[in-house]
Amino acid sequence: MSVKKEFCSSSLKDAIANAAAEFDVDEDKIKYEIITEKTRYFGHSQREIYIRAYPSGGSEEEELTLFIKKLIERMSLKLDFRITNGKGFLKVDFNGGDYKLMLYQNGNLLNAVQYILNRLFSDAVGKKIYCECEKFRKNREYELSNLAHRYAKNVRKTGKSINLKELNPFERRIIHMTINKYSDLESKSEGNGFQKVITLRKK
Amino acid sequence: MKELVETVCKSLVDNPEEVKVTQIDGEQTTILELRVHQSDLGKVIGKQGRTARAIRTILAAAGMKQRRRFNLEIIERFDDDRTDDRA
Repeated sequence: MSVKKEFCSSSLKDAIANAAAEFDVDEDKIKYEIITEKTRYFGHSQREIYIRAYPSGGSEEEELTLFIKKLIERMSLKLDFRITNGKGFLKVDFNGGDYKLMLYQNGNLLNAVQYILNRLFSDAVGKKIYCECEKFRKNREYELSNLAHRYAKNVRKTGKSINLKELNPFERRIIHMTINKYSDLESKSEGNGFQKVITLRKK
Repeated sequence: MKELVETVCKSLVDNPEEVKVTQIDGEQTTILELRVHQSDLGKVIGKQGRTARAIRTILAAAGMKQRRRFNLEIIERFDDDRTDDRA
């Protein structure tokens, strides 16, 4: 991504103009985020606004496409991808010869790529980026809710509580949502950190 | 492989010109030493080391293709006065 710099001025418009002059581009090419906004009163009110600005060379989606292309090339993987616009998210769908590597160890790489892309671009795009590969997430959702139903029946029958494997937040959410449908059961996440263990038991 | 780490890290940090990766080849593994500007250390490590872990995962996957292990080491540099503090 491009270089960001901070600017301070009495109004937002001035600050953007300053940024445009600094980067030597048109004002409408400047992307910015507001850091702080202060109003000072010294006799007459005076505003002070800090922004962090950077020039955008085209749309963010293009930048995103370029970055993913570069990433795949540097990793020397055989992968294709398609970006689609969803409601409140951008979906990056990977497919191609090396999709198995992408899904290795429960989608470890897919999650890593998704995390990095979000760190880099979700602010600029203003949306969450959601990575999918060969319907992996959809299948995982189905698989996990099936698992939850199976365990739920087991707990009902025996009355004993059951611990599930370590899961990430997205996967835990699916389990919790499934268990919520059973009025006599409850699910609880235990442990700390990213991966937690869910315990199912009777209320 | 060096370029891969550089690409990712340069886009993460505020001072891309200070990203330096040195490659040390071993018999089976390659060690990549990553040096960034002091203030960018947190950016490449991330909350609970999440960013560092993600970079390592990407490296591992790329390494699997080449049948080589890659080790990413993030080098913390201490300024002279800080080293004195620790002594």
